[in-house]
Amino acid sequence: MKEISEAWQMRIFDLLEGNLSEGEKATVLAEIGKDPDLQREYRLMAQTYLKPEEQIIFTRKEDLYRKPGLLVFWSGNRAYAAAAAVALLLAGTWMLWPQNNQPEDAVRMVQSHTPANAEKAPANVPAIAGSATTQQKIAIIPKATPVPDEFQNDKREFPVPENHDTFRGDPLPVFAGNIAETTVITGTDSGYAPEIIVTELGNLPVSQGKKRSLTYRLLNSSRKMLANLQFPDVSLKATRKKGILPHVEMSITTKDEQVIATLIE
Amino acid sequence: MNTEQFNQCVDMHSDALYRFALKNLKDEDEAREIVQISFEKLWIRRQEVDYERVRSYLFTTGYHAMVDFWRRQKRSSEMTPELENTVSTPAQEYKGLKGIIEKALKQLPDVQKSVLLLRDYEGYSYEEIGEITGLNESQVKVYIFRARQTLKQVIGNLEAVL
Repeated sequence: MKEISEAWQMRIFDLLEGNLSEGEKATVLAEIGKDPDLQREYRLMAQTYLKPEEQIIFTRKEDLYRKPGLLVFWSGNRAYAAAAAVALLLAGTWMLWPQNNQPEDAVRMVQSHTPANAEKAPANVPAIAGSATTQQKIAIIPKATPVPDEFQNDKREFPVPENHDTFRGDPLPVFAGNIAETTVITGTDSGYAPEIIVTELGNLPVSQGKKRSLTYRLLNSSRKMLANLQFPDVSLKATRKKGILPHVEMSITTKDEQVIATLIE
Repeated sequence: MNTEQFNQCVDMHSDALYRFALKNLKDEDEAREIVQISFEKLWIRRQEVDYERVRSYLFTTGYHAMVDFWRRQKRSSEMTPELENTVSTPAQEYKGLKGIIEKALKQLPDVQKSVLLLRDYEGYSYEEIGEITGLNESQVKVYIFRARQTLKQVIGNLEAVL
């Protein structure tokens, strides 16, 4: 068995790839027909063509589908998706907290949209404007969202259960609709960036590998949610910081204003 | 692209994209993430992406997400090299020609593996693969050739043993 030159290997490769003209093809085939070593080379090369394994399918299409007017937020890993929802909801709540001398009603309005209080929510909640200081200008405008029937009597604690086992085993009672129908408009005139620390994620009693996975799930869930929120002209930049512990920073930039939400695990 | 068209794209392309990612990454969770990231980006840019070119957009996005993954993985393995060395593959896992090719595929450099899968699984031309991967046509062809040479070598060795 002789060594096949690279030039001939390439000719056979071109033949199999369909890169040769009819004339070249005939010439190469004629040569192969005369030489058993070239025939072996041809046969081996032909065996390197892979066939798609059609039995491998993506089983989570439901997570990808979009429904007009409805946020598809519960993904395969509902707890993580919920965590992202909580993070952003907390962000909104944090921004409205009385530290900015905002009217208590503002907080109450947001809370009224939690599942436990959803029945009491007014049909149309008016826009709530946060205090417009020289440092920041925030407005959160929640709209009334119908609560799905199966959650009408849901009385679970909101927003974050105290123990992590509950968190892991029992998805948080956060409604996608609460987020989906909430428009968050913030402006940072002085570049002030609120920072939200989601300590519950950092303290999850899971392995490092799971935390890494969780970090990306959180990131992706947040991306998904933001995509569904349909902010006009929003661009999203997400980075994973170097380091031993997973750490995600996410910033959202609009054309007119800059909104910075930082999610830290 | 409207919502209905987007959902059609999910039906039409998510399986192929997942296969592509899974074959490259060998990790179901990561492969799912790649699919999810790709479709998220498509949704965000649905007004800009031509419906006719969605498939190419998805694979391009997925490929770049995988490149990011490989970089992270490389950094991670640099930090914990002992893990890489302690993982051994049982020989019985790779039985028959298909198994041998599978094993050889795993050992290909990432870029060779990707272009080969795009070629064989998706039937993309060199030009299209170049658009997805950012390589020129000649590079694509050479990478595919080198990948086939490696696979051929493995198959040849198996024949020699048998």
